[in-house]
Amino acid sequence: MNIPKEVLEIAENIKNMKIRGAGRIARSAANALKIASEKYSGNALEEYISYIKAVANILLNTRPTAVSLPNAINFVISRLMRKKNYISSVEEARSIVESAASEFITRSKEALKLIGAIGARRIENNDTILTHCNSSAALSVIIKAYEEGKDIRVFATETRPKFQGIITAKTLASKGIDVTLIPDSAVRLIMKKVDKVIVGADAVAANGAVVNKIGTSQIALAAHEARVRVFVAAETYKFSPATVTGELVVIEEREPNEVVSKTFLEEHPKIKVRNPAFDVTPADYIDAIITEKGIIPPQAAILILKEEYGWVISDYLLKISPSEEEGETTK
Amino acid sequence: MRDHVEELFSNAIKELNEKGKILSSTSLALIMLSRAEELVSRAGVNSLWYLAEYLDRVTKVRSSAILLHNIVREFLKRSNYYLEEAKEGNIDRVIQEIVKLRRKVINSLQALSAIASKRIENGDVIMTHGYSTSVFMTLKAAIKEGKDIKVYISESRPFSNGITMAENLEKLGIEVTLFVDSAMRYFMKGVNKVLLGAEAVTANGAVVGKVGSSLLSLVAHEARVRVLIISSIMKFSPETFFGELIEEERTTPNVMFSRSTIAELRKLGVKFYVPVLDFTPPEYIDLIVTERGIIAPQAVPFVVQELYGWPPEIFDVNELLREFKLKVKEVVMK
Repeated sequence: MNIPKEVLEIAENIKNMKIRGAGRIARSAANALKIASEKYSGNALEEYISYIKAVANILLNTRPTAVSLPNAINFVISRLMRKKNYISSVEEARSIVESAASEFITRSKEALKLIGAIGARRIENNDTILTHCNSSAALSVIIKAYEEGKDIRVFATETRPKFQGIITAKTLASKGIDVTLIPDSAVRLIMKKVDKVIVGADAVAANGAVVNKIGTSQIALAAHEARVRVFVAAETYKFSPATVTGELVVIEEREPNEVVSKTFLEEHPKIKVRNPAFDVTPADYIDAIITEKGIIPPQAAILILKEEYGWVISDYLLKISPSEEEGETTK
Repeated sequence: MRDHVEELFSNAIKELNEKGKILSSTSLALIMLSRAEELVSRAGVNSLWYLAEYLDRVTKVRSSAILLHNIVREFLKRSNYYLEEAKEGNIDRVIQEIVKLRRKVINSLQALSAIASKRIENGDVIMTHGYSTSVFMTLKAAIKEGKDIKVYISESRPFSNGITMAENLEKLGIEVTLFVDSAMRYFMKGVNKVLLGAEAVTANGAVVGKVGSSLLSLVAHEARVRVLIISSIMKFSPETFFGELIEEERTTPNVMFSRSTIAELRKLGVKFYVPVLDFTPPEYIDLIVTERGIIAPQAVPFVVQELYGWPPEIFDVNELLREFKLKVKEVVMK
């Protein structure tokens, strides 16, 4: 069975960042699985399962850093795999995949609302907020606080190289929120005027370190220096279960022509242009992570991970721990 | 004759408006002195009025660039000496003064880069920000000494003059890595020295630099990477000893975004804040390299005492300009 065109298109759009932001990527991936399942025309269960797995693999290989992507796919695939031995028809398998995908999308949207409601309580009247890049979760908090009648001002970084800050500024301004765009280089200068920093996350690691858009870690550092609070707004599907078992989060480096033009690169072959898309903010610089399950200190990330992904982690530990007999002999 | 002066003058002003905020203050000082010489040597006594006006504009376009203020101040302080002869229609002394000042700037650059390059070791990986003539000359000297160095440079928005720096360093054959300003902390782990120029150095040893410099210094401090400021003593600001604050300079968003983007955003109510400079506290600076040697930032008062006495005797540039214009009026009327 060929992979449907629509599914490949979604994969391509995630890769080239037409679909961006960890939340949107996750929902699109779940949606792609759903579409793939609906378009399956065969009749053999084994074939269906390997087809869905193939689709999952294509989606997994689009962006390396955003953990929301494998988490969304796992959410769907694990439900299929756990029931694999108890079903006998493609129809049953399909219904599992499609309802799991829909459930993920619904939950993810609800999570955004909950994060907004919980996070907004931490915003006070007259607060000046600094945000970086374009995070739906962070915006959900800011917008909710504004809708609750709090008088707030927002500084948004332009967010080079791709200027996602412009989207943030537009979104906030169109809601009527007072928003000012600044260059990324001005974050330390501006910090004196800021009360709170709110950013999103692409991944949260087991130790509470947050992987987010490049520049986040130096903003958090500048905030820490100025004793300004740093909040990370992140749905629980952005927590990375793989980091519990020692995996490192891969930082994606994108094409240099996002930073300078292709002509510039041709004219200056000896200038190396590097374009890391994310950086890692240590837990020490983060005051709290706002999730749909509540606010936690970053060091308590393991709490969320055990609760949400306990089964993934134990599956993995099972795979790597030696069998009991081997364990005996090595003693 | 008059037309000729006006043309020279208006070209100089145009250049000032285009590049006045972008260029390093040392480049701007050298350009200012070249234009001044050109104006005076080509147009004679009649040019003095325009010269006064030009110097006035230069100090206004970069109110925080202390180098420009100090040069203009030095030039104006000696006006009695050279205007005496100008009354007789002889402007040689005016030109001599300008040439002398230019030589002073160039000599200081050579001296400080010779000292600074000694602090660069073979194999160093250096990070810098913005375009600093002093940093460039230092790296050039290090290369001449046969040192193998690598340079990391941020693009340095809003003017993106880190890109110009990268281009010029590439010409020297240095391995340059360019990245967005947001990636300073990401790359700091592989760096062992930070080199920065200065727009001004204040009484308490704080350094005014291109916006982003203080962020880079903070990031270096966190990673225990040394921060070296390469700055002529002509950038030390005597006014700050009397509590004068360095003005916070801003520019238009036109240097960051296209006109259509700005118009679209403004329509929605989005505002822009585009600072040009920021302030690095002395605690993040390991040393300042000057043409007179290396000092700790906290030792700035010693140098100022040597240069201007204690308490520092300073002449207000605007006051001097006003006097100069009056004197020039007399000369030209004659």
